[in-house]
Amino acid sequence: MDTSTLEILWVLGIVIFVLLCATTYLFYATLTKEETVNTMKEEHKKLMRSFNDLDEQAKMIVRTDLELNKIREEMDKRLNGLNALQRTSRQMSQALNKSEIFQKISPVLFEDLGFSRVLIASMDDSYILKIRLNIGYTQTQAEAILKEITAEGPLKTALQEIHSVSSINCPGKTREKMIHAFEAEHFIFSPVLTQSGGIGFVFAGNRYNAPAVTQGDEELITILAGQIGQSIENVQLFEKVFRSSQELELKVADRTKQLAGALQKVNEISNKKSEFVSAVSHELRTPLTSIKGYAAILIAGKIGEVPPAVKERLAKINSHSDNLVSLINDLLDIARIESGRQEMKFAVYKIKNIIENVTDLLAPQVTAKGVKLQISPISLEGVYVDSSQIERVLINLLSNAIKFTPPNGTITLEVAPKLDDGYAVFSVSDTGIGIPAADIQKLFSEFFRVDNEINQNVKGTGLGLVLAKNIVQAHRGKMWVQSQAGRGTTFYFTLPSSQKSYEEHMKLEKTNA
Amino acid sequence: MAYCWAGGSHLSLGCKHSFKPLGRPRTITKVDGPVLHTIDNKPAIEIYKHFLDSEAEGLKNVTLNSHAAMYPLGFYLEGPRQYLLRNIIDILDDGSIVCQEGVPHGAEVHLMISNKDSCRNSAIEAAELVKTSLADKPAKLVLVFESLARHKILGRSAFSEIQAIKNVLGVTTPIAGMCTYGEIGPFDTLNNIKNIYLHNESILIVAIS
Repeated sequence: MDTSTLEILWVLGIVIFVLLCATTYLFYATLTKEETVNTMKEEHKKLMRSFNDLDEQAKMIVRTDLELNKIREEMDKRLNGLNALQRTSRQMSQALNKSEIFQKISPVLFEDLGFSRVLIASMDDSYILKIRLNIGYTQTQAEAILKEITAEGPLKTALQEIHSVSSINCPGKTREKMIHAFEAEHFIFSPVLTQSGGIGFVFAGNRYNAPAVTQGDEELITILAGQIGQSIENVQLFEKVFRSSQELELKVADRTKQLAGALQKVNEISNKKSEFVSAVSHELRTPLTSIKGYAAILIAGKIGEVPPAVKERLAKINSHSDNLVSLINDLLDIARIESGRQEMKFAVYKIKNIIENVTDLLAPQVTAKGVKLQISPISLEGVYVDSSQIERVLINLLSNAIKFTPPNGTITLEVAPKLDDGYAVFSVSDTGIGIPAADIQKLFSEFFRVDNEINQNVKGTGLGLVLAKNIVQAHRGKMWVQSQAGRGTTFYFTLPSSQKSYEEHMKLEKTNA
Repeated sequence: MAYCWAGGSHLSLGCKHSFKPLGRPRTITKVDGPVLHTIDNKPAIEIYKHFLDSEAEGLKNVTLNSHAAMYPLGFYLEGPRQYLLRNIIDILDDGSIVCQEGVPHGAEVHLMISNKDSCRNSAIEAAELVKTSLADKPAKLVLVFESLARHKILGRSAFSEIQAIKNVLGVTTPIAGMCTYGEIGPFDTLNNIKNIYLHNESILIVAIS
């Protein structure tokens, strides 16, 4: 083998070796790549599955989201509706007449509730259905609907029901009729009820392309119808109360007029009585004076000596005449004061002086009866009165007290500080026999005398207290009495402490009159 | 609504939305301006049918239907790396979706979802962005342009959002604004001013200092 052949063999060997290596490498590389491709294919599949899963998850998310949004929208709508309804209800409840109730229902309320067709009707006073609110219908359409509702049929039945009906719960026949009459596929029809039954209805609906009504919508419209019924009842009640109060006012005015007339008549009669009494008294006094005069002449023996028996009778004539004169004088005074003819000589007098005058005068009687006359400390300075008249009042009350108080009893004269109205309260209390409750009312009536042992033995006219009360009233004061049988009696009377308080009382009396 | 101001003033802006993508990514396969014909070679409406089932029927011919407002489409933009939202305004008979503005062909699309919390948080985030770009300067006036659709999500608590913005930018700062059908501006802040988009369902806060 020559060298060149050997070289060629070497080269061939190397080439074959290289080729072998390359083939091995390629084979190996192909194997690896296929493996990678397979792995990647697997990965891709996984990824695609994940993507699809993602899509499905997203689908679920969207569906849940859709559902939630629907609920939220429904809730928002319901809340808006409730808000609007509450506003309307509040305004309706303030209405004072029926037409005002319907004026308060704003079309915005139904916009908020999502209704485009609304008809509200209620009966008038003659029980005829009248349209009160109309949204989305012409006048002719609305009247045609009313006609259809009042005609016998399922619609009239729905009107007389106590429950609402709607396009979601209505029986087939009524539903068809409703849709036909109101030209609204989705609707709620709610009767307006009062205690006396159905008096109208609220209809709310939408045309064919609108979303269906919900249970919530139906509840809201039912609430509105209920509120309208309630407001109508309130208004009816208010009108009734208002009418009866007006009737009452008229009655009161009428009665007041009648009473005023009666009072005037009574006053006229009373004036006539006073005039009569005063005239008669005057006429009686003249002959009485003569009787007394002649009796005095006879007693004095100026015409000749009279036997003692005659003298005794004459003395009786004299004393009875005296009683009669004093009775007539009292009657005259009362008549004068009542008719206002007795002029009061008002001035400010010291209370102390008035009381001293009276107690001086009554001292012998007090001593004779053996009672104690107690004058409480007086803080008030003066009173604006006619002192001679007030002395008569005090004498009258104190004499009575002395008369009815047993020996060793106490009579108390008190003057309380002036009241808010500027009047002082005088009181004369005794520890006497008291006055039965039944007689207290009659005490200030003319010629009334309490029926008791003392009065049976002591003479009196039954005019003293009447006179005293009249004098106090002429001072714009009051007189009243408190008594407990067996324990004693207290007479109270009020007198003005100043000219100002007297005049204020005069003014007040005039205003009240 | 018009605002007018003069003098050397500094403007700050914050723009955010609160939506997150749902499900696997899908690709827009045919689009013609604002009309989105196919997604993954299927009629575009299929994406809504997939998620909303029968409720998808309600999307037709209703501007700002509540489902459309609750679940807008989100297109992933590679540049700003954000989802651009689009409200749908109509569905055509062939199942195409009509959006308020054009959408990029070949973009990744998702159905998007949000909730009250995330909505309120996005308002706070936008306000924080404004506050950061204002640095220490106090805001003299705050203007809020906010999508009407966000109100549908917030419902009765819509006003709590304004309070949240006030809490960030100053309780006494005068605040005005309006509800919008679309908001034009960059993503996040004025730093991205070169790329302006029409946004939907977003809140855009502008502060003048």
